[in-house]
Amino acid sequence: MGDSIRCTCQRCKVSGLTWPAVLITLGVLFLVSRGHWGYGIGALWPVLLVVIGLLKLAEAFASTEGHIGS
Amino acid sequence: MNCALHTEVEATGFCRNCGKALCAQCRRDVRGILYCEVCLADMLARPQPVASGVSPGLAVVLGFIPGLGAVYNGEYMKALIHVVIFAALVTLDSSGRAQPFSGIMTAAFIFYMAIDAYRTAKARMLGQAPPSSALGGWSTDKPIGPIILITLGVIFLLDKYYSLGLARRLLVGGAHRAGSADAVETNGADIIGGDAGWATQSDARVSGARSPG
Repeated sequence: MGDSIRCTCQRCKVSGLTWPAVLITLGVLFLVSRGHWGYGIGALWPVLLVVIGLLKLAEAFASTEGHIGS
Repeated sequence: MNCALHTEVEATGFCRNCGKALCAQCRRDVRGILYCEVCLADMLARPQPVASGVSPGLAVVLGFIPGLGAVYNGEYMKALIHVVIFAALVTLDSSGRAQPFSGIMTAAFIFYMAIDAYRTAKARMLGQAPPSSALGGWSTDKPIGPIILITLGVIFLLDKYYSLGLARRLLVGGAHRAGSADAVETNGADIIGGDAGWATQSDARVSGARSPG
């Protein structure tokens, strides 16, 4: 039963956003690459690095107050 | 917030295990980590973790393959990060402009992944919490990993930006605009253009897209 409790501390919330953010970023990058702006996915992929880095940075600075679990 | 047990007393911390608010009387400090008495008693009553089926030897072998060592340890986000960084380094390496720096960095990163997979697997085998990353931790007080990721991303974006010659094209486009209105008409796609060959294709595409209208 204890394992089913979901931690709602700030760090875990930000951590849970990482995968959705990666998927959304990939979606946006592919959309942009298919547009007529002239930017291919080959030029835009570093945005993914920046997005993951920013989320991990936010996770590092987020509060762990009320954290549940290890 | 007040203590969960002594509701009239201000809480001074939270149990790491159940998240319950604890006052100074209820908190049990174990090497800087707070627990409530109930959780601490449960932990002491729990049998010690036995060695799981995790093999550090296998982890180090898989660790040489980008992302696979982290996947073996159940760290999927870390696996994605490893793959993206490896892809970035290989891209930098294949451009040939950053040699021998990129080659050395790629080799170092491959060994880093293997060692990281080994350390994590060993901790898992012993039933301990995974050690912080060798890069200083992805989510600790010293977020060196995220800063490296952002820096790499910005460097690659700038690299693409300049290799596509956007800044140069913008400047040239500006000069055209300043020099001749006709030039602006014919080179309207300069703003999104790249280097000579790439811009030509882009110009053609944009011209084609605009001409029917």
